[in-house]
Amino acid sequence: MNRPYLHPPALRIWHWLNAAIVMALIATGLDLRFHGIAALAPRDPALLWHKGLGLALIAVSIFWFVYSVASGNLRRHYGIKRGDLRGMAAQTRYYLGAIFTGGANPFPGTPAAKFNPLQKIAYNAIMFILLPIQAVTGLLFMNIPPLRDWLLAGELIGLLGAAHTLCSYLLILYLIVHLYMATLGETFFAHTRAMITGYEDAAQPPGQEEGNRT
Amino acid sequence: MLRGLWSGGGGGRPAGGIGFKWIDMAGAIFVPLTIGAVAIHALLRKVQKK
Repeated sequence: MNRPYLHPPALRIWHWLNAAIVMALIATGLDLRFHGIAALAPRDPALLWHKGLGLALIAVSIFWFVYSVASGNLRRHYGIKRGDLRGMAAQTRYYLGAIFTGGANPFPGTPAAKFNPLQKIAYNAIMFILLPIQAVTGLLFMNIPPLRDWLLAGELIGLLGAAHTLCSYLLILYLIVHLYMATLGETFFAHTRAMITGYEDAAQPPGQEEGNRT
Repeated sequence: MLRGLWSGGGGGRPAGGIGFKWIDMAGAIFVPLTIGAVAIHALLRKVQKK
């Protein structure tokens, strides 16, 4: 079994912190959505928790961004490279066909390139489009005096709510797929274990199987 | 400036008011659809492995 080291401690801590905050944000967000935010008391616990968790998510996302830029994680693993478009097609074919017949993953995670082209697109969309929209719309929802008055005067609250809700649903859809994809490693928990220990249990690259080393 | 940050949140129309109900409808369709799609994918993998 090949065991590449993929995830440094800072990213593992960020990942699990991020996961806990996002799950709690979804739970409190659904609570707010089903009850109707306008019907809630200003100090409703779900509302206060949602705001606090939102600020916490902004904080950990800023940490992720700063760490990723400083460590080269962003450039190395998230940068879209030439050939990724073709790689996306190959990865899609794998998920829709070869995975059922035991075919090899065209982009197994390695220390040099952790993510396949589809993951890169998805993670970039999450970190640089959806989360910033959630953060900005969420901050504008808070009672920041001049902003609040302008938004009410311009009748923009509904639009903000729509953008925030739409992005929330997109994040939930992503999360469902992400949780499922987390089970597609060499074993059911291989990816999850890698996010705890840093080391991924991966198939031996072709030609390096046990007893085949020369 | 940030006084009152923790109070309120309502005061305007409810999030996704009139004209935005399609978002909840789309969510009600796509969330179960996505769960179903990954369940079918997982099932197919299991069946093919046998």
